Amino acid sequence: MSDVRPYLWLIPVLPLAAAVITGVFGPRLLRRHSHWPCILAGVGAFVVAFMAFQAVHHDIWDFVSSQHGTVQGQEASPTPYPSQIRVYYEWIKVGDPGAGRGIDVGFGLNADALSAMMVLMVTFVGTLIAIYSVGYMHDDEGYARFFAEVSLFLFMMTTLVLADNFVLLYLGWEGVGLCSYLLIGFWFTKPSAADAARKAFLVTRIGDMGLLLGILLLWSRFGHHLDYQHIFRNVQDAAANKTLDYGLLTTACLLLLCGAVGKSAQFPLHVWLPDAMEGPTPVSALIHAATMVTAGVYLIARCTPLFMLAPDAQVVVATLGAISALLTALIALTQNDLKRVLAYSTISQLGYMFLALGSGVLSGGEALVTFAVLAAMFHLFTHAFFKALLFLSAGSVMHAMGNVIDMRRFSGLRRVLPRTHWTFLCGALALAGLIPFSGFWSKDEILDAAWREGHEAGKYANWYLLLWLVGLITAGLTAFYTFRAYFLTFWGEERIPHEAFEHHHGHVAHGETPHLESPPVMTIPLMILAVFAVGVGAALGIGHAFGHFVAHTPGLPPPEEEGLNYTMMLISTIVAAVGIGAAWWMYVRQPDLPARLARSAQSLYQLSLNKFHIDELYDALILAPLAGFTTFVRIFDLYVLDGLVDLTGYLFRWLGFRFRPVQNGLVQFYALAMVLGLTVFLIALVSKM
Amino acid sequence: MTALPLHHYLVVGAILFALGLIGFLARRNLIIMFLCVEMMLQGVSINLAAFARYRGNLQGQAFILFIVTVAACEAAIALALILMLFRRKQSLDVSKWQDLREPGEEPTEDVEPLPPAPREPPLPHLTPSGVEPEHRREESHV
Amino acid sequence: MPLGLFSAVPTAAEWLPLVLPLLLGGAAIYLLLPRPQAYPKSWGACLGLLAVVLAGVLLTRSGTVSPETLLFWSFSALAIISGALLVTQHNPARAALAFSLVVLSTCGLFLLLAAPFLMAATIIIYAGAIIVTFLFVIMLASQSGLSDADDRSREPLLTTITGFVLLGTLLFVLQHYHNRMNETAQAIDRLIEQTQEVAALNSVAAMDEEVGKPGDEEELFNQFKKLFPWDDLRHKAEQVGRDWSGINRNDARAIEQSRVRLDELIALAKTARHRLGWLPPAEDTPFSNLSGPPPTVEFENVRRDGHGLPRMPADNPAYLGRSLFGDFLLPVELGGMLLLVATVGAIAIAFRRS
Repeated sequence: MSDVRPYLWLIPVLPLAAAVITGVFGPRLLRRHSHWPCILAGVGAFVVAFMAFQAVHHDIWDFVSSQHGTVQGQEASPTPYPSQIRVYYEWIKVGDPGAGRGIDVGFGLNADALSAMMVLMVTFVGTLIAIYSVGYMHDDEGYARFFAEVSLFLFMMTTLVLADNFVLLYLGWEGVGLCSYLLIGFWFTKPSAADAARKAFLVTRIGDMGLLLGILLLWSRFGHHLDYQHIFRNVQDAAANKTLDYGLLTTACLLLLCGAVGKSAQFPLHVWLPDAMEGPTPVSALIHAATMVTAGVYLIARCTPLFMLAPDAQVVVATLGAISALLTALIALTQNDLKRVLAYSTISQLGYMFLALGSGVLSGGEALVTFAVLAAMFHLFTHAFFKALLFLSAGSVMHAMGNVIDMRRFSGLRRVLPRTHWTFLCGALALAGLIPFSGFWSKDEILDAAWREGHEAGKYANWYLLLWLVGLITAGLTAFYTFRAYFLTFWGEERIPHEAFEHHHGHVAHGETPHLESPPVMTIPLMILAVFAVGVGAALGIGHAFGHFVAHTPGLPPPEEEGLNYTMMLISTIVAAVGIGAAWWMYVRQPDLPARLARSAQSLYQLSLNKFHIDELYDALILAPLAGFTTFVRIFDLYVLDGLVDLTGYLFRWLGFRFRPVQNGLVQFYALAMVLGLTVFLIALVSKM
Repeated sequence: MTALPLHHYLVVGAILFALGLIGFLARRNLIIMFLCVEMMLQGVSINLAAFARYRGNLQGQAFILFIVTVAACEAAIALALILMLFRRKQSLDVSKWQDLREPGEEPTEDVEPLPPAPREPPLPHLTPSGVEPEHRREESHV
Repeated sequence: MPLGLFSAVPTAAEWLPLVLPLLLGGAAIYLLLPRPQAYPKSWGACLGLLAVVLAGVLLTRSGTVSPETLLFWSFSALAIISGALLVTQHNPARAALAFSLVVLSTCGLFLLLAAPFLMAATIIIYAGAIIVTFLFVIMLASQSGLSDADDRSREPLLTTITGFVLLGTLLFVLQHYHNRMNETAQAIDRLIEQTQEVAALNSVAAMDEEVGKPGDEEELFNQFKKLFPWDDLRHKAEQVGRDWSGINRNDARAIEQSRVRLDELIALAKTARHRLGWLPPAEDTPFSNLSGPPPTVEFENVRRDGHGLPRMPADNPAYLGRSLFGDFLLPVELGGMLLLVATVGAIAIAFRRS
């Protein structure tokens, strides 16, 4: 079996080295060539990730063939699937970890099925987006800074994914938060961008606090370990010995969920993601579609051994996911900014993944747990490709239209931007979940998982049925708003905003179709992603190849052989088709229908357009009292604390002023003072005799 | 007969020293201040001479000679300086020299007024000689 | 009824020293009292002076008071009164004259302290040169009428209190130590007497009984040790005590040995008596004998006068000169340089540039 451990460290370190090189040498030396370290590092990381994937695949193949059917029915937990772990550097070692009274944390990287798949996806999509950015960020002054920050982000994300302990995960978690802040606020001189960056950071920070508490709770109560293997083993041993405190475990899982909710922008911490569209479009594609927001899903998938023993936590996961999905789908119906539509769609799809993760309850059988987790991870995988594709296409449109992204200002761009149009269409079809595109397979599995959970004899069985219904409705809404955006952008009469001509490179003669299409450095990644968006779902979904691979992650219960649920496939296809049809009817055939509907349902329309006033609600409930408290603290600091300090100063000055008259210039007075002192001293001496 | 105890001489020295100290601190005439300093030195000299006597060696007496020497030098220089100071302010009052006080402080003035100086008895006014004084002419009644 | 004070008629020798000065003093006062037709002042002054001198002579003659004590009190009173006058006089010229009186009294005290050369030198330099210089300056810097300088004082209350508190502290310290020294000296004297009595006994057994048992509180050697504040003398006393205990009582010469030991003890006691309140310097300090016998010399080897004080050389100027040019050569040279500098400095400062 091939051992990738000697090279595993390259996956995070290559992007880190690229970040340092670009950061140090970029602005002066590399300038227009600042993208090379980043792209080369991305490619290198991808190659090593592929090697890791190969190695893990090889190991799993060996394992399965040696076990040969004895895997199923085993009570051993966690399931001893192969993983390649090595601690590369001892980081924190405090106290006496051996006796359970300390912390032993190292830079340990772990290559198993789940992390190999994730890191492969992250590096692949990341590299493609970096190549795309060469064209998109072409004119920007902060060219070098952009690539440095993107490389840093890749380092943090790969660390997060490959970590074998919670602390290193937390390092990567915070790191991607930081890079997200840096990249959203890339154009920091623009006030809205700076505000959006700060909002993103602070909102995710709220979730991170919960995550930290969860990690600490796990450390303190389950054997003072911080790496996955030990914690999971301790928890499962406790469950087997009936000594597990389920309330504690549920609390820990809910705290971990806090972190996931923050990072993956679920309700109620979803408010930062739409504002994060202030950043450059490649950033939105990379961070807010494919990689960072999936960290929450990854975390919960990784902690499946914990969650599957806490069904109460799982139902919360599923409910939050379903609420987010439905809420943001309703908001996306009325948005006019193309990137906002895609942002809300991201939140909605992440809601689906959470719904799936929450549906894997143990009472429905171990196989259901694995199936649900696999459904979530599969959707994550396909979503990465088609959402990145959609964002990049939107970026291409924006680039061509001179940074105009309001759909009301342009339309009919089919012929103007042909390649962008076809790639966007591929992505839209995948997102809508139409057979045989990739989104269909993964979304279908999620609905299947929810449906099956709804029919098991668990506590919340009926609730899960409701959630399944919500998922189904959301699927229809997804198809609708996706194609609304598509039709509004690419169909109808050809309208191009004037900024496109000011900004663009070449001259345009009047009356001709202008050549506004993006350069190949941008369209080629689009086309690569389109291929994946179209095909990867079918390729990996029909034969459950994806599921077979990822199911062999340590910690997941052994799966069952599954067939395809044709009923569900039929229902979801019908729903998707209905959504697409409605969009076509409203935006191609009857273009004035949307306006009439909006007028007649004015209050609902306004509610959706204003994002259900959630931001305003947070402002009033949280930010306003906090601002009041801040003002109070400021005044207290200014008048009381500073006043105290000033008072001390004044006190001594006053004392000094009182003593000033002693220096009155009279020699005899000074001499008298001396003699007085001498006398006192002598008396003191004498009295001691 | 027992000798006079050492302690008696030391007491005299201490008294002279203390008197000189009080005089130096209280009197405002520069010359009298300096005389009081010399008196302090005299007190110290008595101490030294007493110790020399009761120890039986001449070290104390030698010391006194040096004290006298230094006092002489000191007197010379001090009196020269006093003369200079007098030439500046036409007064021997040490309180006139207050300029090294804290900036912003008022100079210390004397509140109590001095008693009026005794007037010189006026010289008698004599009529100038050779001039007939005014008088009523006698008129005859004849 | 008189209590038998005058059991016998007082003889002429008793009442003459009392009556004669009184008569003379009374006559002096009578002559000096103001009357319209006054007697010449000189008669009263002479008679008064004669009365005082006679009183002093008769007092010392009768042995009540030693001449030294009388002279000391006179000179001290004169010094203190003149000092008070100096401090409180308005007129600077009168103050300078008071100062000359202070100097004269101090010189009298020097004379009592066996420093005739100093007396002469001080009178010449101070009362002669320095005061004359002062008077010249007073003349040059004279002001007429009342002036701030003469008629005001700076902080009279505070300075007086400070000065007298300082004086009080000094006097308290002096008195305290004087008393302690006196007590210790008297105790040592009593013990010396006791030891001499013991040494005069005739048998060792009687001596042992007087001395007491070793370890006893009343034991002689213990008492000596308690009195001595010096470690070396204490060790020596212990040594003598051990020697005393080690004498073989049955030896024929035991009594002589005992007496020898007791004499050693007396010698130690006298050294201690000599050392009282003296703070002798360290033993290895190099002293010459140009200024007098070094303090480390044994008590017995120092010549003493009738009072027990070390004898001072009669030829005081010669010995003082030897001491100055022997022990204190460097300070003398520096003093000379200082005088030169002061001369030049005084001229330079006071020179009126025309």
